Amino acid sequence: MALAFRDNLAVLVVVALLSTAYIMPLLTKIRRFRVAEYFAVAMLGLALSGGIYLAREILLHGTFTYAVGGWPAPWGIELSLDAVSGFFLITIGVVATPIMLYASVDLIKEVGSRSRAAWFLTLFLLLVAALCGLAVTGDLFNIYVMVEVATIASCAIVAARNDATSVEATFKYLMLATIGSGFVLLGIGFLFVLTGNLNMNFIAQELSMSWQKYPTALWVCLSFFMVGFGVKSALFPLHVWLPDAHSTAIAPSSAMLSSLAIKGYIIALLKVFYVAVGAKIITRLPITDILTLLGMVAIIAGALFALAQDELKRRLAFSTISQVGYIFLGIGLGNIHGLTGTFMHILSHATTKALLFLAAGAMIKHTGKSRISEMAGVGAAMPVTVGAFAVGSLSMIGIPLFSGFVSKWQLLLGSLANGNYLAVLVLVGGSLLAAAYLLPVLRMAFFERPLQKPVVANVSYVQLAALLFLVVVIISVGVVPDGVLQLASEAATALLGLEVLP
Amino acid sequence: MSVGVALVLASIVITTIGAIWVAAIPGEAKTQRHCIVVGAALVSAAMVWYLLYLGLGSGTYPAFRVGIASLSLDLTLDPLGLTYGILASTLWVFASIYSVGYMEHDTKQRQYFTFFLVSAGITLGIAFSGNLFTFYLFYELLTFATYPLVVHSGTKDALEAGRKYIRYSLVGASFILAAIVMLWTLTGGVLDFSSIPAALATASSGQLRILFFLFLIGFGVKAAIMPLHGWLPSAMVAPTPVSALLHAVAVVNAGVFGVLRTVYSVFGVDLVKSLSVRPILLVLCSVTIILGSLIALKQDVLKRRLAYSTISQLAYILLGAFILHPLALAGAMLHMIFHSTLKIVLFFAAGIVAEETGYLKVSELGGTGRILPVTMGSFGIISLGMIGMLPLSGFWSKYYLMRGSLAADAWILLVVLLLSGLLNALYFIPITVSAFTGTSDLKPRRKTKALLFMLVPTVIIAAFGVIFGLYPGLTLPLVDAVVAQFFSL
Repeated sequence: MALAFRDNLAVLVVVALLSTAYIMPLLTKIRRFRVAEYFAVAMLGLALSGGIYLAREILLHGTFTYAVGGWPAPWGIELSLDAVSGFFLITIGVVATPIMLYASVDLIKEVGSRSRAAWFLTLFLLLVAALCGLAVTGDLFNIYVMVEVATIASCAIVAARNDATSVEATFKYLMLATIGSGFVLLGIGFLFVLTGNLNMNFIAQELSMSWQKYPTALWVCLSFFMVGFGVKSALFPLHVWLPDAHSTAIAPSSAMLSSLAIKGYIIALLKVFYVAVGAKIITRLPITDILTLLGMVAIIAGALFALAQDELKRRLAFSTISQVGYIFLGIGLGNIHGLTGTFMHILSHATTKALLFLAAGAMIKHTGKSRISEMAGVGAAMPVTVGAFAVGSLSMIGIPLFSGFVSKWQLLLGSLANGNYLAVLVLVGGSLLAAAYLLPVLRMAFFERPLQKPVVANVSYVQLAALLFLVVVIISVGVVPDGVLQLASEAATALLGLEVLP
Repeated sequence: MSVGVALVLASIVITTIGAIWVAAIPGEAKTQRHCIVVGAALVSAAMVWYLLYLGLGSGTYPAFRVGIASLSLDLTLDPLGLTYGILASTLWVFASIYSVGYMEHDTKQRQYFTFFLVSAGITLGIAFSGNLFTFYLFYELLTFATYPLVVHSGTKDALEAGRKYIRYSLVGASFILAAIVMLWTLTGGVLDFSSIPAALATASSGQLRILFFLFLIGFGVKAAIMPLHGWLPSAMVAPTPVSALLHAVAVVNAGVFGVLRTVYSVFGVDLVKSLSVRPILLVLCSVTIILGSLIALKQDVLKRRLAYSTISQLAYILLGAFILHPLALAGAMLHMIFHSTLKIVLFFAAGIVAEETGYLKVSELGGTGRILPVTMGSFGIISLGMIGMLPLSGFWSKYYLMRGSLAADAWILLVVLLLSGLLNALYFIPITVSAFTGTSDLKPRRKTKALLFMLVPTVIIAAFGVIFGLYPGLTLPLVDAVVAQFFSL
């Protein structure tokens, strides 16, 4: 019984979110819009607890697969539940729930009308469902479908506000993301031609026997994946769509896109590289070196661009590009510490950037100032919100006791294990640059003398609760990371195909 | 949990609780806030003193450990840490009483006292950390906790100084982080002070040299070794109690303490000797000593003059540490204690003068001794100690430093120390002389309660300067324990 519940839970998480998404337009016919919003929050909370339960089961009993509809692979759709899925499901739940909670306060006012708000809820849940799908799926076709759903949904929530700038940003995003999808599809096609399979475990089996026969084809195919997913996850220099999209959207959309949406594609990339192709083959191809290099360039370039921005949300958007560099650096390192660091950074950047975007959204909305140079005195007007922003900043810089340090420490160890001293330098330099682009915000908000006396802004308690939830997650991961760190290192071990350490 | 464990933890926690309490009560409740601040500092200091009474005989013992994954938070009590802890927590009490008077008319008292207490707890954390990770954690936090104190006034100058402080400190901290990661790979994950030297034995001397200099550059920022000292003179825009406590005692000594930890706990005397880096280090310190004094001579703003004097004096402590001789280490420890207690009086006096007369420059001080006789009197006597005259405490630390340099056959350092003493006399004595002989049109003002709050701590610490000068043996148990910890005699 327990086993059946566990197996079905994997598909239930996705299906429940999908069906909630489609019920939303119906639910909003109820007079009180709040009902629909809180229902969405509750479903996300349930998805989070499902994720935690699954992760616990995976840690205790190892990985398992679930054949959808009872059709076994390779004919049927197979879900494969390992520590990677568990880790990403928890990340999604922990971040999406507070974002939805935050959005629920004044969604109608933010997006313009009640019907638009209803569609926003639908698309938001669709996006989360697609990300959960990416976490649990075990075959390439599903990856493609989920990637497409996620792309369309995230494009749509950028345009939620329906003003000229956000529609323009959406169009740019849609164009580039579609090109990305094309590359991904080409890559999947190549792998299918090479192996005759779409199920990733079967592909891995085929390739381990035959990959030396056509190394060039594999090379080309992996490059397609790298470019395709690279565009979608804003790997420098394929990031051009991100700053506009993430800075013009409403705060919950920016938070969702920057913290979770791009991570979904990274998980997909990890699955293709390390599960379908396999660690043994990947680490022998120069593609990992290219990823390391691109990651390092992204860390520095993203941070330098961020420094040049005066608009707070644009600065945060460029910061995302820099932080994604850390994640790719870890993937490229290809050792246990590097990949553990990648997973930890997926979690810590997701929570941190969501917190920063939500706090920034509240600051901008209540003071009407979107530029950092105008923010003098904001700290006195809304101390809790800016305090939460400070916690996010410290975590992003990588100060011990905050989650950002845990991931950067693993990445540092991973770089040293590979003897890559340049990466050590870049990691440390990236942290310094993060301090350089985030601390001035706090200096302006708290310590600069305002021109006129600041008016105390009343941020709603629900939004503050969402911010504080993320603060608590960041600090508890920073202070007692043992559980998550074990899950992350288990996920890394699973990808590397090493013996699971007791 | 033994009593020692509980006390170490409680001394840190109590200031943090005090800080939260101060932040929670309304801004108008002045008396209540002052009581909490002084009370928390006092209780915390009393605990540290009790630790001295309890633990000194038993040497080093592990106190408290909580795991952060592969990194553990580890608080330990050892003579070196205890010395720094006692110094900082005791002076914190006096500085908080002084602050009550100095911040009388300030509008942002709540913010000031909150961070003032937070910094106290963090400083004790640095003193009692048992491994490098814990050390790094508190060291980094100290930067952020003291930043609001530096920029307290919110003026353009203050913010600029704060920016400089953060830049220097964070760059320094990233050197330390890089060093820790490198150490981690060299030792295979050993970061405990007690077991690092043994684990480092297999590393090549080239790697060890890189490691050493990474640490030195990292800690050198807060220890204000030239050319990493740039932040300290600018940070003098902070309120005077902050300059006095942080920029003469807690923050700068945290850097010095880091260097001491690197030399004695991470590497150990023998390993540092085998690296043959000593000549470079001694030259670096000598240059800082002389240049610091020379630049101090040219400063007209009193607090800046004191800042450069601090830069020069901190290098004395480092010099003593780098000579790698028991006598010199004793001199370094004595100088750490004595310099802090002397310099804080000078800053306190400068603060009183600035509050009462509005004068900030040395050239304006003529005649101030007439209306502020006690203040300028303390300044004058204590500055003699800074120069190194008997019967003041400063003499004894320099005496041990000189004996140490002679014992290590480095007589050239004697010249450096004497020359610097001469320069000290040149930039301190004229201040006192003009204060008492010069003329000014200042009218004596009514003594206020605020002045009393500032004057009492100043006079008490000044008295310590004299007492330690007459009875240097009082500090001996502590200094002996530190020397015995690192040299097997």
